[in-house]
Amino acid sequence: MKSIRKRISARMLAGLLIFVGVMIFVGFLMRGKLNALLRTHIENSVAAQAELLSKNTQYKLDAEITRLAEIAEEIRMQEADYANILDLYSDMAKKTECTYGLLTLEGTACYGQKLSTREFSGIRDSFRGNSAISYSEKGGLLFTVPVCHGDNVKYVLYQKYEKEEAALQFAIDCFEKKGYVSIRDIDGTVVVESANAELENRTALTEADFASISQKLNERLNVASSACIYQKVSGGEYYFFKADLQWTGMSLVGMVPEEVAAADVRGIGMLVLWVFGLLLVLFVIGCFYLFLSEQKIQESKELREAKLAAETANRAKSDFLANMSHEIRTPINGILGMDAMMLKECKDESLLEYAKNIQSAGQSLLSIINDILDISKIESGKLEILPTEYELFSVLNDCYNMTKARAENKGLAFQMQIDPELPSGMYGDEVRIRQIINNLLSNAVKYTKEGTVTLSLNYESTEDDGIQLIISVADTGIGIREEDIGKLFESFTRVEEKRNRNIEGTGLGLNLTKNLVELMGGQISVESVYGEGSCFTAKIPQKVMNAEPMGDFGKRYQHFLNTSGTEMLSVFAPDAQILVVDDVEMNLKVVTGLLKETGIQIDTAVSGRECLECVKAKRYDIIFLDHMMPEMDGIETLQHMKLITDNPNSETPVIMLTANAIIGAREEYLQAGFQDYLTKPIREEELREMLARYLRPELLRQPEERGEVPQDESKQQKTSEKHREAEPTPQAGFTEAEKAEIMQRLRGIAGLDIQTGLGYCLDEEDFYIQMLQEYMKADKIPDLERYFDAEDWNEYRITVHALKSTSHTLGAVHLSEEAKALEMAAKAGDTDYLRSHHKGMLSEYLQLSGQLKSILGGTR
Amino acid sequence: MKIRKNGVFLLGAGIVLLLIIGSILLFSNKKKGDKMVIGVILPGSSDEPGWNGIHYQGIRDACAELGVTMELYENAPEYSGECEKAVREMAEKGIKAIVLESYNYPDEIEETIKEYPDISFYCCSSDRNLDNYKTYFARVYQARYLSGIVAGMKTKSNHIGYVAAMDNNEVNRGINAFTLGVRSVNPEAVVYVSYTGDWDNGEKERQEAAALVNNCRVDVLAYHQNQPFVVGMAEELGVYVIGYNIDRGEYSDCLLTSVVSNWNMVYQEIIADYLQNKEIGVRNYWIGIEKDAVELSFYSKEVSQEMIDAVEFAADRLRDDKEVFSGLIYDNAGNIRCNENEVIRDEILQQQMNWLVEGVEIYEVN
Repeated sequence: MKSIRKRISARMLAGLLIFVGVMIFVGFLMRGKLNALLRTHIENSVAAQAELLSKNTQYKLDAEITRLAEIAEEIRMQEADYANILDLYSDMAKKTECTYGLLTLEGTACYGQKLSTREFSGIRDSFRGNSAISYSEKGGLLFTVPVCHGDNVKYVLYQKYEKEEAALQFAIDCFEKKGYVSIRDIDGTVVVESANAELENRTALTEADFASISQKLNERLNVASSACIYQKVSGGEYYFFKADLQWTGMSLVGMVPEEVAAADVRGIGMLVLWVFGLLLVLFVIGCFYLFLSEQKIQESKELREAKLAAETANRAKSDFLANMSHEIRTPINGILGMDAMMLKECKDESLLEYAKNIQSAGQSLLSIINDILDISKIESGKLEILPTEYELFSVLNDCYNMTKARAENKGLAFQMQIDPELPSGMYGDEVRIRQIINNLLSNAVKYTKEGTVTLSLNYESTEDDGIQLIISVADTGIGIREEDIGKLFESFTRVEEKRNRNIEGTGLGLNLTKNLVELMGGQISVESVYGEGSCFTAKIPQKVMNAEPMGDFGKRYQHFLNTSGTEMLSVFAPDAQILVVDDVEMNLKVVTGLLKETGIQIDTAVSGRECLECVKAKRYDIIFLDHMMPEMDGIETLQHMKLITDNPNSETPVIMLTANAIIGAREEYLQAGFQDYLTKPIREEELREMLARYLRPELLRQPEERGEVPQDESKQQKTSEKHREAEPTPQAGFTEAEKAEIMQRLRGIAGLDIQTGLGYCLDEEDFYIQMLQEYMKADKIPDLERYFDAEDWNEYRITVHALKSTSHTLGAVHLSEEAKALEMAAKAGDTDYLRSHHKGMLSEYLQLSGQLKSILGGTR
Repeated sequence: MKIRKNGVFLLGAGIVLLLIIGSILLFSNKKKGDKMVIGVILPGSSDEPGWNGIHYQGIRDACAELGVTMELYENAPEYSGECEKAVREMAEKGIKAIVLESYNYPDEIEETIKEYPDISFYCCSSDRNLDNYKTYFARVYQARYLSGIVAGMKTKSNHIGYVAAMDNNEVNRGINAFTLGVRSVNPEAVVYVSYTGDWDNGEKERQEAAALVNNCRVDVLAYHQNQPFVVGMAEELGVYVIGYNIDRGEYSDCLLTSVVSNWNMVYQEIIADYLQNKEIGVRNYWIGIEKDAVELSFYSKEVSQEMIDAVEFAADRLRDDKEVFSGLIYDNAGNIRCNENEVIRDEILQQQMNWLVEGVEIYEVN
């Protein structure tokens, strides 16, 4: 896990780094692009300035030429007067320190100073008819215009500025004197330059760099009247610019330091840098956030998967537990049911004692199974707290009864310290409260060798009409080590296993108790001094229904003993008719036996099909229907029952008999249309409660009436099978002597294990013989032959299944096994096996039934 | 799953990255063609002895001198569409300066020139008012003036013949300058001019030359044609001849001298100016003897030292400040075209030379 996370984070980190790298790279590209854009922008703006500057200068030069041309025109008009005219202008020009002259073709000056054509190229240009400006280092700046005579040029008029004067007159400047600019003539000689000429000298403008700069500028000048270019030279970074001065052949050349030209836009670059930096930081934060949340998603996904796996495993466990409980409860059903009948009918004191012991052991086995079931319910979250109104006293009464005997058996004193002020009526899950108290008490008894077990009950009032029920159970037992207290409430854990190995227990009790307490919103705690004893305290919130104080428990208990006795709920309803359906006849007998005293008329059926026939024929007050039956199970039977038209039992309550204690079964049954359900093994008390609840009140008679109604055995138990009806059960049809003889002969039959058979028949010989007779009568041979010939393997399987069960119950073990093998083969479709073994099994069955017939048939 | 997700993620990131970088690079692609290249389009072949060969050699030498590469497109006849094709090819290659070697080209491709404002076009003569078009030419008339001095001194009959191609400014300017040169040393001499009406028609030129010799008693011939057919005729007829744009070659001494435009110098001027962008706005190139753009290329044995000295003296004055068309000039109708101490302006020389100076006679064959 850790390594995976490491790997993930390393990968994420690498990805993040790559992205940051890419972003920085992109940032640099963007920066370059931005700089280029800004430079282009600055170049354009500098070029625009240069053009403006050049136009300005051009304008000045044009003005000079225009003025000179006007003078030339004046001279042309009054050629003779040229000296006067020029005198006038020369006087006027004194202020500007320029001189005028008029040159002839011979190279002489008819006015002013004579100038050399070689020094000023403009003179020749003007003689050829053009205006010109030329410059000489020595002579200064010369403006020349032709003076015409007719179409031809006769003189050239010039206006000359000395070098210094020209610099003053045509002074130029750019970028608030922070840049350098110069006017250059056609040969590149500087004519006029701005004040900060040192800027030019500081750089290599005139050196090698200039060639390339100039070329680039010229390329741009091809398409524009001004151009500018950014260049880094040895002296620093500059924008160089150049603009043509049109016809003059001169140009404006200059430069401006980068920081001056870029002053306005410098902030933009910085701003972009900041914004980009901020974006980068946000991006990194975003990445981290995504990274963390992805990790969380990953983790929660893993957790979910782990949880799912754990839940699946847990479900498997609780399914296993539930199934186990079912498997275990089925045999206990038999044990406890038979035992109950023994207790009822046996008169032998010592046997009664054994039966009681069986009952006690069976009960504790059941309670363990119930604990396991509860735990599995709790773990799958299906255990529900079902609050009802209850009498606190009755709970305490039960608990006292249960523990008192056990404590006394162990020689322990059992004390009850019940607060008499406790409200007598409360609202809560009575069953669970009882379970909690009993668990704590039985634990205390278990782990205490001598001394006292004390149950104290107090309460604290809470804000909302309720109380906090405080149950504490103290003992003088072995106590618990401090370090073991934490483990105490864990499932399947027993502390100090070695020392306590002779004390029985599953380790479930305290865990279950704690879970129950917490389910009810309470809490449980334990204080213990090792070697001296422990005290468990549970606090459970309960609503109060009847605030009347309960009073002293001891007195009430005494009173209760005197008045109520230990009589069970008594049901006497000789007019009632019920139907019991179960595929195992023994269960039918159990129910019949248990209800012997109630006088109820009982019909039985061994399959769903039989049940339906009975239902059609007769109206019953209650129908008990087993769930697990071959061919047609209880739920299917009920569904068919509901489809029957003119059903006399459409209003009859149907109660499910089930050994299935699986969680949620109750809802399933109720949903399927059952009124209620009864778990097997069937307890007499529960059965009677059911009857009391579902029999119509007018059917219930007072027990005093019992004597008045004649007990008619044959009336009480009728079987639905016609042959049975026709031939009443010969239950008491044998004398003791006959019985002994029959038993003697039966023992002689090979393949019949009498002991096993008796085991299934309550060890009653009468019952066993009766069963054998029924077995004999239910001759399955014709059916088996028919199905075998018709190759109807399904019916064959069902028939052979029944043979298997009944044979086994009677102790015909070998036959049962053979039948079982055939059943399996039929189920698997293994016809070869069926064909080769069918005859063998049949002959054995035939032989057995023949022998039985000779023994039993003769007795009638 | 994870790997595939990562793969998709990486692929996406890569594509985005490429897009970003690509777009940035696309926007910042640089202008190509740092090295200077001059395009040249010739109507004929570069090894032809006349106009095409001379211009080709001139520009080739100028390019070598200035370290510029020349891109040549030859044999592009006028009005054939070849010239336009050549211009587009050159523009495609990023060439920024193209020299058109025929005065008819600008007429032909004026629209194309306007299409490429960032390319500078150059052509001799043939004015056009376009920002990216410049005219250049040599002041050949100065050399004709000097050759006139030789002819004026050499003639015995005082009759000199001149085979001219067209009656236009350029040709007339040459005739006038030649005549002024002749009469500066021989005021009695007459120049008989015959227009062929064709720049390149050997037979006609020879006929005209023969007619001038036979009918006008001409003993010195001069001409203004693309090729030197007249020289051959003069040799056959045994008269002296002044060449135009030719070398001495295998010719006899009858070929006294040749008027030569030093195109090498012209092109050097143009290219250098182009490189440094010293070109002068709307002004065009008209370069003269002061920059060695024109000269008399050689003298035959028939030219005496006296003649040479006279020529050299005149050439020096021209180089200095003397103008050919200055001082008192009459036309052959008797009108004064220029007074003493006056100069005829370039504008008139270029655009209004529809007259001929005193001493010129037009010879018409019929």
